[in-house]
Amino acid sequence: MTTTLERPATGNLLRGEWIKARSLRSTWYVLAGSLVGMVLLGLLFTSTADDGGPGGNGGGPPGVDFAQPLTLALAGYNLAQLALGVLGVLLVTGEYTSGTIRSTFAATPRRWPVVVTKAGVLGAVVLVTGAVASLASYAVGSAVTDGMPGLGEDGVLRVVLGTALYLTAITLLGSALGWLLRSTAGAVATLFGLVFLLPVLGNLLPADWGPDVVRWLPSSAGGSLLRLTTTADQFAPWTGFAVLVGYVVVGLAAAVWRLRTRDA
Amino acid sequence: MIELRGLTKRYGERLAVDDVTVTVQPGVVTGFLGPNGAGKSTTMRMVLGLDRPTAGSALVNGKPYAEHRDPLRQVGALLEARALHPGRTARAHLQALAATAGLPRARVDTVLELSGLTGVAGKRVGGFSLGMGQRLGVATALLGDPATVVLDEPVNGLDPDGVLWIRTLARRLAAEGRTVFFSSHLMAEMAVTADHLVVLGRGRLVADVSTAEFLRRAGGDGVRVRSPRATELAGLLAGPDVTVESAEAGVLLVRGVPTEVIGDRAATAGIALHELTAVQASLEEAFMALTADDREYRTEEQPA
Repeated sequence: MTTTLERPATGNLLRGEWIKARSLRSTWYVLAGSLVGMVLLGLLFTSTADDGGPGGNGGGPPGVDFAQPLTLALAGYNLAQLALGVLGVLLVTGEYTSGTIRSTFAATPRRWPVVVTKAGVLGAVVLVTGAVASLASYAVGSAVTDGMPGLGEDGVLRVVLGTALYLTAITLLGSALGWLLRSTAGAVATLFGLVFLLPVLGNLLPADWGPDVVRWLPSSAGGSLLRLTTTADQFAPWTGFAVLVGYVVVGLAAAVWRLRTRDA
Repeated sequence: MIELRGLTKRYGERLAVDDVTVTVQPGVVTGFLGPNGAGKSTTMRMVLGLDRPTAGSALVNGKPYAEHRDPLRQVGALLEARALHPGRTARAHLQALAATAGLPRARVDTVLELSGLTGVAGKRVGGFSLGMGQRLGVATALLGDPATVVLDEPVNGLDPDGVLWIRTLARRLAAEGRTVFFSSHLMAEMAVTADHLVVLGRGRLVADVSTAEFLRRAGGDGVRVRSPRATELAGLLAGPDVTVESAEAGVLLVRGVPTEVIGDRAATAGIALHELTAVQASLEEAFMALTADDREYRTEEQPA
C-alpha cells in the first residue's frame, strides 16, 4: 500500500501551487490584461507629454509630476495594481469558496507553508510580468516622446523596476487579505479601500498633520519608489517601499497566525 | 485504523460532537450513520485535522493526522460534494495535489481510470454533473493510495451505476486491508455495504456494533403470518421469548419462533395459513428506533 516515504518538501509545494495558479484561465487573463493595459495606457498618456501632460501643463493632482514623461509612461500601474491585487485575493479566496482549501490543508496539515509557497509562486509570476510590463511601457513611451530620461540617468532604472516590485507587493497584500478575510468581496473591498480610498480621504485631513498619516498608507509609502524625486511629505524611495513590504509581511504573518487556530 | 478518544467539539453553546470514543478497524467497511446535524461531518473533519477538537483526540494509523509526514498516503478523504475549483480541469486538480504530496505522476492517471473519468480529464470541473464531481472527489481521496479512506456521503448525487461502483469500491478497499469509514443517510445502501456501524445522535455515540447486531437489536427478524384463525394460532405460539403482535385483524407478526415451527404447529392444529413470510427489520426502522430521541430536527417539534 504505502510505497516510499516522501515528505511534502518545499519544492513539491511550490510545484503544486504553480500548477494551481497556471491551471486557471483567470490567472492568464489578469496577467495578460495587466501587461497590455499598462503598456497601452502608458502609450496614451505619454503621447500628451510633449503638450505638457494630460490636461496641459500643471494638470493632475498635486505632488504628481504629470509633466514627467517617465511618470506618464508608467501611469498604467494604477490600473494594473487593481487587477493584480484582485488576482492575489482570488488565488486564496477561490480555495475557500470552492472548498479546495480542505484538500490543500489535508495535503499540508501544517498550513503555514501553503501561505508562504502561494505567496512565493504568485510573487515570482507577478514580478516577472511587472518587469516586462514596466520595461515595455518605458520602451513604448520613449518611442513617442523625446523628453524621456535615459535608463542610465539618476533613479530612472529604480523607478522602472521599482514599478514591478510595487505591483508584486500589492499583489501579495491582496493574498494576505484573502487569507485573513476568506471572502472575495470582503478582501477586494478592503484592498481597494487601503490602496485607493484612504489616500484620497487622507488628502482631506488638516494640512499640519494629514500628510504624516497619508505617507504611512501602503500605496503612498510604496509609491515613493515610483517617483524620480520625493517631497518632504513623502518617504525616501526605498524607505517607503520597506514600509509597504512591512505591511505585506505583517499581513502574511497575521494570516499564518490565524490559520494555526482556525478551523478550515 | 481511526481511533477517537473522548472526541468533543463545541460551537459556542452547542456540543456538535460529545465525548465520542470509537475505534474504526481496518479490513472492514464501517458505516457512519446519524441524522442531519448529528456531528458526522464535524467528526470527519477532526479526523483530517481540519477542525480542532475542543477536547479528546482523533488518531489516524496511530498518530494525529497533522503529525504524519505523508498525510495523503495515510488518509484519503472525500469530505463534501464538489470541493473543486470550477475553472480547473479534473486532471489539473489531481496533478496539483499529487505534486504537493510528492506522489508519482502516474497516480493521477490511475485514479482517473479508476473513477471512470479518463475521458473527461481535460474538461473544466465547472461543467461536471454532481455525479462526475463525486467521482472526482473519490479519485482525489484515492490519489495517495491511502491506508485509511474517509468518505462523507459518497453516493450523494450518483446514479445507480455510480452507487454500485462506490459499493464495490468500498468493499474492495476493505478487502485489501484498508480502513474504510463512510457516511451515508441512505440506510438501504448502508445495510448492503457496511459490515460495522457507528451511529451518532446529537453528537453522542448511539451505537458501535456490527450491522447484523444492529438490526437484531432493533427488533430483529420476525415472521408475518396471515390466517383466518389468527387469534387461535397466537395462543398456540405463546411462550417465553416469543412476541406476537397483530397490526390488523387476521395478521400476526411473530418474533422468537422460526417459520418452520409456526407452519408445523398450524398444520397440527388444522389451522389454514394464507401467508407465512420471514421479514427482516429494515435498517431504517432500526435507526429510527435507536435515534428517536436524538434527532436534531423533528417534524413534531415544529409549531403547528
